[in-house]
Amino acid sequence: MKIPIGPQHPALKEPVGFMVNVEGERIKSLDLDVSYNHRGIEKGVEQRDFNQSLYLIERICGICSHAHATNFSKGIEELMNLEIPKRAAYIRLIVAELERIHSHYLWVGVAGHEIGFDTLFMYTWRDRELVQDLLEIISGNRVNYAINCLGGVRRDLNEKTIKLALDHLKKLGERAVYYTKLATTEETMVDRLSGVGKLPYEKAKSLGSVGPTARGSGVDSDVRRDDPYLAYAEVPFKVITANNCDVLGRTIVRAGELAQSIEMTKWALENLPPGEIKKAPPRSAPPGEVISRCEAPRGELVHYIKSNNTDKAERFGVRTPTMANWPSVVEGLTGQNIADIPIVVAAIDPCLSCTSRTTFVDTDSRKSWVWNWDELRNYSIRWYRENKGIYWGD
Amino acid sequence: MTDENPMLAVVKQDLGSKAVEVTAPRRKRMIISATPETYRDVIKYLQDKMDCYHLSVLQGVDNRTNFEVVYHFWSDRNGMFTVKVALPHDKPAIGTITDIVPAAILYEREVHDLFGIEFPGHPDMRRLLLNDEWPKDEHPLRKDWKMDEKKFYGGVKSSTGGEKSG
Amino acid sequence: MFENLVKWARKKSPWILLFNSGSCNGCDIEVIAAVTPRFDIERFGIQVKGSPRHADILVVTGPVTRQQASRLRRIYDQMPDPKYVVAMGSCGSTGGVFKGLYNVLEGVDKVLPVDAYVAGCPPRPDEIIDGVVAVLGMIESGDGRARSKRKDPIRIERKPLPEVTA
Repeated sequence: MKIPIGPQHPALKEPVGFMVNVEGERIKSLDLDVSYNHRGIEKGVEQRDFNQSLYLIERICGICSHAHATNFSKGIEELMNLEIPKRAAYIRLIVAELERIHSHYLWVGVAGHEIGFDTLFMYTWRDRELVQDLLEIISGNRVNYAINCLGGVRRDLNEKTIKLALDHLKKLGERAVYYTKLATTEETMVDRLSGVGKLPYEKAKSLGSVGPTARGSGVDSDVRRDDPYLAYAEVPFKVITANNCDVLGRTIVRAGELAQSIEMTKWALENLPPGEIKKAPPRSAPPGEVISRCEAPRGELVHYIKSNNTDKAERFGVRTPTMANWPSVVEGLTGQNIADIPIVVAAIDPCLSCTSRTTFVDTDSRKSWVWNWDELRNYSIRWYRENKGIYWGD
Repeated sequence: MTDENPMLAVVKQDLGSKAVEVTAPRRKRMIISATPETYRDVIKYLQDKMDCYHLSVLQGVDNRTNFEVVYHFWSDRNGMFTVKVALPHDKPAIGTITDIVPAAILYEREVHDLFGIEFPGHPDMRRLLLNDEWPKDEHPLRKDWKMDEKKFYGGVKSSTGGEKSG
Repeated sequence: MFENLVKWARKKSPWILLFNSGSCNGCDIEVIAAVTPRFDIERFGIQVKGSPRHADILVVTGPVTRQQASRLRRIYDQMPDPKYVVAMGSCGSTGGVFKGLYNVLEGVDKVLPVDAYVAGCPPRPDEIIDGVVAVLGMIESGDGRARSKRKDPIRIERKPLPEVTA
């Protein structure tokens, strides 16, 4: 039977359509439709000059907007042979790590919501507001910060901001210890998350998974360490991997990265070099091509930019990390239970509101029905309560 | 960028005539141009000898005179290898690599949708990004594509049935 | 602003349905942030619901992409009367940065009759609450007149809805 899951989700990101073939409660095969968010940005960038494109590219995704903007800026700067001042690189790094912190907090809350643990959702989003405040003070906006400009950053950090940031980070660090322990050792969470969405090491590599999805299966790869950019070669940090190969592994990786990012931001703020914050870029970029990669909160982000001696890009290609992780969702759900769909989809942290209609088709009873995400989520929470005794009572 | 790629000489020698051209703009980046006959051997070489376990993305490019399909492979040790294959503007097609690189499954569908490049042998060639109402032979990322005001591209119909809606 | 909100909420606690029609998610996370403890609109009885049959106010984010147009219309049709539509952000109002791209319909008002536009990219949670309060004012006055400081508030004309594809 095919079950369509409907396109809105009260809590998240972009729409995705699922078509699920089931036998009773087991999923035989899963098909996705990822076209709902297609806007035509790649063509739009060809028609806009670099500065205008920067505004557009930031809004490819609102949660990792800085990663997109940084990646594009550093790609164009590489084409122009322009080296940005050290202070600018540090400020970009600070905002990038703050973005990672806010994104992982967001994810922990969302994962909690998907499994019925709404208290965790409220707690983490409340703490996340501290990060949003910081970002607003640094850049002027809570989301879509636009701190980048070609050649550096747009605004500087002064002493008061740095002191406030260090203060907030101290509070966040204490809370992060609590959430890490909760997410990785609390019995109910571990029971609920382990064994779900299995993705073995070899499959993770061959299906092209990136980011915490791959690192949760033991793949030791991180763009910040392997292909360093900005000031990552100087900032000390560890790459977190886990060998669980399931959703619990991905949770452990994200919780670990949260703690690491807080330390990195503190280090960068304390060691911020003095100097200029931007350099005037030339008007146009000489002909060439560049592949710019960075580690967005969800994984490896790739921009392929070709220039042709004008102030517009000749070709701009984006590969968001979520696109690379969809095959692993299909792999992790085939043969599993319908009740696992919400958390496995949420575990790759899709930068897509996974709220499309999911169509279910049962090949046994020849029935088909449509659920929206809320109905699927409620089914999932109920199933786990009745069959495994896992319930938070929220 | 002044830093050299230490693998450049090795790759040039190993590939020999299979690669039309091999350049390395900087450390950890290498660009290999191949032909539709030799690209699979180049990709297999990169997977076996250069430890390229990860396909970052494969994309299409329209150079006005021809098309290109670019494959970006990543190796933790040796960096990024880009394999470019030039295709004619008329009926561009290149065999699928999903049998040796399973990660290519969604990317080839995207290139097919946006450029019209065929990938014979792909197990599941359906639309990925464009909606069902989009005209079948219109490929938006081609340089010579312009939206036709009189056609309907999906979404909201105007009273005349075309694009200009009230 | 909050005293009025308390006044309205005593009379009616609107339930909101959030629909993402292709946005970058920035607006969506700000709507969800309005529910969480810092802004906490749930204490006024305003809840974000998952099903159109329970909702009073439809909050639409994103420049409507072609694929989402018919779904958006379907969701709207499923909502019981009286229903109100809030177009969020610059994308929902006019298409925002995505104006001119081939797969967007540039604004929610191309598909639905909109009662309130909330400006911003994305609007802050307090600005979103302001938009919802404006709609509550309309609910109270009952005649579809926007709550505004002008002496002669603008009446929103409801044009016949354009046809969407299934």
